[in-house]
Amino acid sequence: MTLVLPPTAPVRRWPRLPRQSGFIFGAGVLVFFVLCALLAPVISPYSPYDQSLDGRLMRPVFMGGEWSHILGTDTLGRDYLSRLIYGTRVSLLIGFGTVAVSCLIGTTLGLLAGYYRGRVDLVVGFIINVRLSLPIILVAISVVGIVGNTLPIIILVLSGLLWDRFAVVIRALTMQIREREFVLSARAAGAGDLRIVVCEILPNVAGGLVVVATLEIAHAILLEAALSFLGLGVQPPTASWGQMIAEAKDVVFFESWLINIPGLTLLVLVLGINVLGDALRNMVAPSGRPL
Amino acid sequence: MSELPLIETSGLTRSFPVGGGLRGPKRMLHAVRGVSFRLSRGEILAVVGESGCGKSTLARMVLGLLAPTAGDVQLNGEPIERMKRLQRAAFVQPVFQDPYASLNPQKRIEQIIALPLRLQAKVKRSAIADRVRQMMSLVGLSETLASRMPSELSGGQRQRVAIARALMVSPKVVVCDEPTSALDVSVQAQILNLLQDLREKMSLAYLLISHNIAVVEHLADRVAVMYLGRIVEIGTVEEVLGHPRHPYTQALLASILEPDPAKRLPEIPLGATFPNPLDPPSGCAFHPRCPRATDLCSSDEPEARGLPSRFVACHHADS
Repeated sequence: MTLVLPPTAPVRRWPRLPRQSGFIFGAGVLVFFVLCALLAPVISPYSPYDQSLDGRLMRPVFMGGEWSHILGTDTLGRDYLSRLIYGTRVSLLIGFGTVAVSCLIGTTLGLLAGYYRGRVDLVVGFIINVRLSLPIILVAISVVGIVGNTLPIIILVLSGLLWDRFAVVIRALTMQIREREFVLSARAAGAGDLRIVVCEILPNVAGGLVVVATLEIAHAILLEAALSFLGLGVQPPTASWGQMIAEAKDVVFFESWLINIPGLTLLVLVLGINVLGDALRNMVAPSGRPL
Repeated sequence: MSELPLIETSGLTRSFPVGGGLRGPKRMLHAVRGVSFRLSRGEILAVVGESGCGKSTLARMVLGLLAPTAGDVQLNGEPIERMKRLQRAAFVQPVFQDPYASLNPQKRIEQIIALPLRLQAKVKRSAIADRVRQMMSLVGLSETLASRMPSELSGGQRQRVAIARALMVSPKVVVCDEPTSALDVSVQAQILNLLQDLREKMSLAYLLISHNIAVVEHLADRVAVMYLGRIVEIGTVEEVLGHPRHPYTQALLASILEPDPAKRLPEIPLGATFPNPLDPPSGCAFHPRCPRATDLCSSDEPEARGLPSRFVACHHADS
């Protein structure tokens, strides 16, 4: 009698594919916009500030416009594509700048709370609750209204309002990891608190950090657009997507593409970043080990 | 001149506050209560007992990772809380139970092994690298593993890494907290033999925490039996395992399974439940499960009787 082995199940590849395609899509979108921002002076067909009162409100090519202004011109006759490309700079600068600062604040607080626990945790928990009780837009509007709306100020204000998720996530991860035996080993080897936190714990929470960071970049970009739309973002004539939407709202019933183009661009960038964040979370979390 | 013991603890106690949220008062969990023992040069002292009896808490206090609530630990005659971190680290090092948790998953093997020596400020980088290679070959790890990540190693290899790391600073004492219980049986023997070899090569003393009597018999010189935070019996392996005097030790030894499947499971005279450490029994903590318990046992806690090196804490101990 021969032993018949059941056929081994074929390796199922498709469950991984959606995650990977999410990563490729998200990373692709982000890289595309980063390149646009970096190469803005090279690839823009015109200066984003040159006005031409003769050529106002020219329609984009796909609506019967001319190839000289692919995405048409705005109410002041400025080339829309060039403004869109320069606007990428503002959005990404705000997104990355805000996340860099807020990541620093949130991670520091989270590591402190998770590592020392006890009173430190109580204090940090209180600060987190204070932060969560503040409505972001309201605080941002009042602070920017008082202090002024330059780019560094907007980045600082948004950073001061967007660090909470970093703190919450890093605190929880740190609490898990500080009980692991490799942390005990490091302490038994004579390592000090700073060394343990930076060299032993931080590398193991980095996965969670990246996930939160991507989501917060998208968040910050949206907030900047909202502030600009309300007239409290970067000052005109600097090109910013929120600014472009705000300027176009007067003619929204006649030339709605003026709002749709920056709106769609914003949507694609934020969607791309969010999808990338989800894909990263899927890549980091289920294996469990790195976290 | 009588030699100082490497480790001497007296009246070592550690309590943890438990609960104390909105409901109910805070209660104290007495994990270790008044433990005194000595560990001499080159000796292997095993600490055995059920899960939850305070073995690991004891190990952490001896490593200086946990401050005792009362009592003290002296390393080579010096109180541990007065020692500098690095001085303590050069004296006593740990090997933990779970080799999957005891190595930082984000670091390479050579970095992990090098850490204790790197922290000792005066050592040069090249000397550290040499020492890492030396230690790896000493514990039987191929040098090619040096640049691997922990996730690429097997459980036995990881435990060898943990041992190599502990030995980097040539400690006098290694505290092994269940060093083999997370490993496959075949690998357990290798690790135990390695520990035995290293003891001779590096003249180490071990504080061996275990609940495996066979491991203790194989490796240890002396045994301390713990029950609910106290040492109930201590002595040499022959004395304690050969002629147990405390009823708990006797029951513990009776519960060892014979490798012969034809034999029936041993009859254990104890009730199966371990008492709640938050609410320990009055008098002798063992009396609710003890076949010899009398009224005296439920009212008075027994003193340790005998020499510090061979004592029993029981009112009705066999002599």
